[in-house]
Amino acid sequence: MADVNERRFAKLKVPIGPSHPALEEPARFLFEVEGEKVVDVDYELGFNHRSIERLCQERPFSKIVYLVERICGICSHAHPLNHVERVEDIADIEVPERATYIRTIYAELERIHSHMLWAGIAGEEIGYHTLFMYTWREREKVLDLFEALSGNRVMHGCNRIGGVKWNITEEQAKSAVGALTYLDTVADKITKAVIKDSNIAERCKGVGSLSKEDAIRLGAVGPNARASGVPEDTRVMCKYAAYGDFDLEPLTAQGGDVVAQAVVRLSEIKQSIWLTKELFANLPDGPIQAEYDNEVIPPGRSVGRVEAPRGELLHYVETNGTNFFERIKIRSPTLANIQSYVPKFLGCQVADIPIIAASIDPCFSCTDRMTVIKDGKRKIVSSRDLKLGRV
Amino acid sequence: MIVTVVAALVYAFVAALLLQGIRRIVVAHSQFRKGPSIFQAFYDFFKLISKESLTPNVTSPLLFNLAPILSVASMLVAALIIPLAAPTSAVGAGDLILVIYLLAIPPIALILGGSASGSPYGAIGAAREVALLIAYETPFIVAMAAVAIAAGSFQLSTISATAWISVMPLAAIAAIWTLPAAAAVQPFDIAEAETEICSGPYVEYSGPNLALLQLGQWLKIFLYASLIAAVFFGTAIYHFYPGVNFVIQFVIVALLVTAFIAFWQATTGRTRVTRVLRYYWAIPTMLAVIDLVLYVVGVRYMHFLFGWAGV
Repeated sequence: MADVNERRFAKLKVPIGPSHPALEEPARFLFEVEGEKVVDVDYELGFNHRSIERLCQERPFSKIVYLVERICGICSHAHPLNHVERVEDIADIEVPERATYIRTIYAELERIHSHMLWAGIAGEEIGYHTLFMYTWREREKVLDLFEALSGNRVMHGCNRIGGVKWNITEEQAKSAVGALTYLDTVADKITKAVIKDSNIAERCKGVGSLSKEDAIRLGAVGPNARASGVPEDTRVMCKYAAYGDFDLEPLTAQGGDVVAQAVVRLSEIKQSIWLTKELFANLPDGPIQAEYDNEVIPPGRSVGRVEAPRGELLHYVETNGTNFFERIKIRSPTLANIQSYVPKFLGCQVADIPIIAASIDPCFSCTDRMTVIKDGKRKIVSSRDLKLGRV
Repeated sequence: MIVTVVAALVYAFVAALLLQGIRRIVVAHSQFRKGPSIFQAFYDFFKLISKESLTPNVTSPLLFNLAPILSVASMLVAALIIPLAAPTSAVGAGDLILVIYLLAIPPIALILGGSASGSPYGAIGAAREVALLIAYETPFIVAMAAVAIAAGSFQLSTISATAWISVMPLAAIAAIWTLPAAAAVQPFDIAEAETEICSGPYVEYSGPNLALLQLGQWLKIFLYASLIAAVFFGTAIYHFYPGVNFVIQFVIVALLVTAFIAFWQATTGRTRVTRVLRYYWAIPTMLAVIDLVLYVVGVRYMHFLFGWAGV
């Protein structure tokens, strides 16, 4: 006999995407819902394939830094930073210390503005437009800071092989520290508005949870993994750029739900503000560009990780002794995090879909590396298919 | 007679659309924005009216196209019954009950249109609209019933002779509390929820149909606030010239809308369907019931507290 308490609804298939107001970028989700409860989910990527990796093999290496900077508008420093570090690794270029500090400053400012952007979008997804307007207004201050430092608000053009393009003067450092002090109070305000709001707590507590075991099993990275209690931070593990000089602690939270994600990201804003101030205070003197042979790069291969605002970003570079790259492989953090959507979505309410989708801070366009069109039909290809040559 | 009717209809139309402009400006300013023109709702309405209405293939066309007309027609009738800016109203005994029914028709039109639209977003939106309607109508009806029992009549002209907020402040709070849900703005825009279900019931509507559906909703917000104003603040203040009375009435309603709709909209996020029921059936319904019970057993607490108020 059926349980009388078990309510039965007709199953309804709710498509979200490729074009939907909850998604900033094209991706397709197919939810199977019973009443308001999600019982199954399928997702599909590949709507925004831009063949970045192929383009990287068709240009001389001097133009690739410019190209990889344009993979993502928000991680516009993490991609070129990882790329130049790989090339420097292969060509054995010693980067001046001041250049590594300036790179780290940009990387941390990028994290601040990216996490503020996330907080705004999360507010928008649960209909809290005032939070969105506020965080995005204050995020402009970071972009202003970028403009003051590099002349560009979004594409900074900071990284070069062997160094950086823009030096930082005394006055710039002083005004930047002033702006950072202001941003510190803003971060406190946002934290208070998000953590203490009973309505947000009701909406977000326990929504989109991800256990620590699942986070490790599904290979979650970055703030998404740290929100589940996995103390993994590439800045601490790999100590690239100037991170080796500072004692950073991976900030974690428990449960992996939206509140935990918010706690991790908002405290990382504070951490990044502190770190950027330290970097400005300890900025060493010296040149910002190393001398190197800019005609060819010796053959070799290098793989490395960088902590982009969204998590671990992996670049693989292979050179063949000419001024063209043999192969470039990029794995953006969203590709690692997207698997964790399944445990997050199962059992959630329809009302929670947008906030869960936004909670891992997805960047689908940066993720799309491959799409296969055969006989006019798009097809998802598994790694097994690729190995067996069934494409 | 015909002049009064036309005046009331034109006033309701203009006031309802202006109210949207005011609400949007207030919300915009609290979000550090400038906001649209105060006449934005007029621009939107007339632009949509001039466009083409599309009926999707999978719908039931009759229901789909009937819903917007039903919504506006019911509101136009309600505009003639609710004492907008006159001490008396046109219809006789029991018109409060009629008005409460009429005010429930725009949400019901949304439910019909959403279900008929053949879109899963519309279906979910319709289901949510049902939950929302049940949630906020309960305290509202109890509050209105409490006032009607105290006044000894379901006739609006009799009820609105007294400012009932001075007799039944708890019922007044309960009724005013339902304003944000009746207006379907944050935190209660669950049936539209554009980031979740793409505006739900509205998703397949376009052109004049959409304009009418929205007009019905806007008129409903205005008339709902007008009914609360007429019942709890009375119509005794409207003894000037008709034009002046309309201005006074509009100011009262605009204040209600600004304080209890725009303010909420600017300071909260969207809530969940399950929370709406708990929210409205707990405190506001209890407040209205307390006032009703106290009146029936003969406790005149406002009279006891202040001595000056009460019947």
